[in-house]
Amino acid sequence: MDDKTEELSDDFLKEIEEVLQETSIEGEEGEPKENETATEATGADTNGIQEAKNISDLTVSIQSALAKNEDLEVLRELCSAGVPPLVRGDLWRAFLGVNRRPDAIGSWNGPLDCENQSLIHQDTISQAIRCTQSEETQVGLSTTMEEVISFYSKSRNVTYTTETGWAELLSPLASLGLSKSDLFNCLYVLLAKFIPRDCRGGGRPFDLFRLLLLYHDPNLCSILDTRKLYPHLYLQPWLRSIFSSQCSVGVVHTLWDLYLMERDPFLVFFLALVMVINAKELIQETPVDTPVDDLNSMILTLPQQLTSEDITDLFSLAQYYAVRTPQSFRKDYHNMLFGTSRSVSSVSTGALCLPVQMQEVIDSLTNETAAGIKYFIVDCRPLQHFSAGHIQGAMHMDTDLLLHSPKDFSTAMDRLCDRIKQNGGENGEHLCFLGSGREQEDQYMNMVLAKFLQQSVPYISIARGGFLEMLRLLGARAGQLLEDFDSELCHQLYEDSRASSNPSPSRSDCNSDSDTEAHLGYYYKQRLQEKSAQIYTSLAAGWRDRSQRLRVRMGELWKSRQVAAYKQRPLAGEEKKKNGRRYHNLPENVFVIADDEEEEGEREEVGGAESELVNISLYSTSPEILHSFPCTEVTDTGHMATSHLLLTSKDLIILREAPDRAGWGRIKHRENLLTILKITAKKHHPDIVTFKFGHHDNGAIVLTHQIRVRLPNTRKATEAIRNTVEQANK
Amino acid sequence: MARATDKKYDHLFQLLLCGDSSVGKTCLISRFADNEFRHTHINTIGIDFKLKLFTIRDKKIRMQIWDTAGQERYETLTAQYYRKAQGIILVYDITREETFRNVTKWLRNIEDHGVKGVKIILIGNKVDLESERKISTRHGQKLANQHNIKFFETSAWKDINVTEAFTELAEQILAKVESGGGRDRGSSSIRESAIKLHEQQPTPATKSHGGCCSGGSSN
Repeated sequence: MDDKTEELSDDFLKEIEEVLQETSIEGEEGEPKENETATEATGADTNGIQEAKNISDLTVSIQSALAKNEDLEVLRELCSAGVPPLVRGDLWRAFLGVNRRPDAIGSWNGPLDCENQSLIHQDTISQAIRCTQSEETQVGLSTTMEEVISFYSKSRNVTYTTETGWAELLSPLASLGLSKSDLFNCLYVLLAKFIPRDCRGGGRPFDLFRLLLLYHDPNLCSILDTRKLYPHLYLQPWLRSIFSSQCSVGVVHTLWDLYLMERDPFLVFFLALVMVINAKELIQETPVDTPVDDLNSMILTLPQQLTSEDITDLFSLAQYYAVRTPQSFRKDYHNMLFGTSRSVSSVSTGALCLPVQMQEVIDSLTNETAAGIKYFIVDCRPLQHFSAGHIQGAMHMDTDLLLHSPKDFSTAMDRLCDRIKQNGGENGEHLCFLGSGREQEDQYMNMVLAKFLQQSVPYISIARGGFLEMLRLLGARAGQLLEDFDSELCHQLYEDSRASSNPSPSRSDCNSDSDTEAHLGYYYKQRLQEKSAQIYTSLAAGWRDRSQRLRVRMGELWKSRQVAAYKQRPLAGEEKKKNGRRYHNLPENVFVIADDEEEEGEREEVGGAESELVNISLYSTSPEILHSFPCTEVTDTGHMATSHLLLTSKDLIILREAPDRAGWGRIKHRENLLTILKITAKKHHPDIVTFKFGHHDNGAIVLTHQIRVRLPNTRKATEAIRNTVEQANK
Repeated sequence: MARATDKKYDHLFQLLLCGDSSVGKTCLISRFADNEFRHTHINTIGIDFKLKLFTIRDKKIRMQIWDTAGQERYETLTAQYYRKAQGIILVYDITREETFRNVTKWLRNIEDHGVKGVKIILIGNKVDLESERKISTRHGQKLANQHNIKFFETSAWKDINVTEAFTELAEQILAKVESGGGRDRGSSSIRESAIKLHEQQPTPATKSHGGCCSGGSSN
């Protein structure tokens, strides 16, 4: 590890950094520029003014809210009836949190000589043509986009290809008349926070989508698998551009209005789910010998039929699926797809069905009032194990029957299927399979699971880590929550649940839990609970209409079977709503040097809202903390936040002081020491230290993100950090 | 279909089919076990299995036939089942070259995850589609000879050679078991003890015990 100034190989990266740093410390400079771009954006689009008077009223109130830097919640409420075109650019900048980002591209005047420059040129021209009819404007737009993409490509050292989707992402933004600097910043935030990583080939996002489709419509998933129509074929162009590649610019505007407001990067998966599931009949009707390419282009182009009026329905439907999906997949995949730290995940690619984290299962079982899914546990452990303790109300499925007495097995399976028909489905119980957690024993469970999936039973998940993990998580509560609990026998059978040689999945689960918890900051969870409460009450009734509307528009008719199936009664959820809002209205706890007004929606905000309050002195003196240094974090947007840098033997933690409660703070970052690639300090500001995180990829170093702090006691602190990192490396 | 659950049988054999997606593994099993053939193809999810009671040389054999999904995404999952199998049928499609090329990959999988000395046969399926044939019989036979395994060309649809192939594999396993060759070998000896215990009482402890042995004896 080197604590001296490091020369970055890439000049542009350095350039950005300089700019970032300067504005971080003397942030006032950002102010006038921002106003400039604001007028520019509003001036560019004059169509909105001709709209009815109420729209212009709305425009005025949104503008004044923006000027006052109102909370995003306020903006969200104002925009509930739609976004006036005039303020769209400003709103998006606010939602993406780029208002205070420095003008990184402004100082850049480099040559347009990227590896794929002609392709960039070509793609930006075709995108510009989508945006406007006027040839003059087209030239202007394409030039700007080309510059932005070239700069991004150089600064990130990534070669442009059409598959990156950058041009498609830029065109809806460029058509709003955003400045070059804003375009760059918006692109940067979009790519960092909304576009899944590995969005090519057979990457993780497509595995996830397939699992979600399997969860909601196993039959359709099987049809598509059988016809070898794998998700990446049609999903990649959707994901890489949040549908911009397929929809007209006008539709994308409406779609992104909602999308950026929701701030849920996983939403695109559910939007895609709606598209594909709606096309089920269409897919079934195509002859079996239809070439995959034809079938694929049929699905791929489905979003082209969307109109702006469909978007609200599309979103409601997406939410409908979202709240009926176990939530822990977000934790499993967040870091992998959107996270800043590329932690090694325990999610295996070959999962038979959607895995649910054991904690979510336990929470759902122990908290009767919680919104979300109710799980019916299918316990597939050997009978002896089951008798030594099991979840109340769990059904035991003897996997031996499958092998030795298939007849009895089908009886058992029918019984379970009957039960699902009565209690299961959309708003009812979802089957969650529980094994022992040992690969050898759970082979039989996998076969049972496969049987259910082959029967197209929806809403099937598997409790990750099995009973071993459950015992570990329940700890002393096991006696309360398990039925027929024979502590001695149980621990004898599962003695490895206590042993230090815990199976690695549970360990990494535990890690990623705290890790993502800080990142996610309960944001999605809360938002979803809130949503789910609203949706269960409002949507279930309107579900039929909405889907019907969407379908009719998309040239489809509902099958009566589906209509009947969706006629479900909503779950009551008023108290959940209250609960759900709790975290929302807390002010963002940062000190801003440049501006004393409250700032929301900064880049980091999307991923890391509020984490739990901790007592700073108690936390810093806990035995796992090896060192603690007072520091000031310089955030990406140039805010200064009084914080503490803490070191454990494994992690670097930034604990930010809560301004509203002296002596308390929130964990803003928790990074594994092994992911620190570089620690740098600036020549002119030796006390500003930057930690760069990333990983090695086939020998190449990939920087994923960084944390910058002002450490008053630089020398001592960096020395301690270096020692700890060295220890950790051993 | 006769499910001879409670009847006595002399041996329990576990067979597994592997090979690329859509080569006809499931169809071969349906033909052999139920004498059925479905023209509509449905992808196997993960793993499936069928039972078949079968007689060779007056010995009643209960066959558990494991059907694995050919899709790559399930490879990790299905590999877990290899070590339970005493016999493996590797299938390719004579009308699709890549399925033949991948035979080597599957053989490697078997070597990595299967029990040592597991009996293997190679099947080139879909001979009913002679006009679309891409892989000649000679090629198939040559590859089988290289690996010292038996080779069959079959048609699950026209019911050509299917029973013969399964019988050959069962014969090989039976010969091995009867010669005592299976005694020290992981798979078959465990299975036999597991069967006996199972017939007394199917306790779960048996299963974990069996699993434990198999770990130790896969040398």
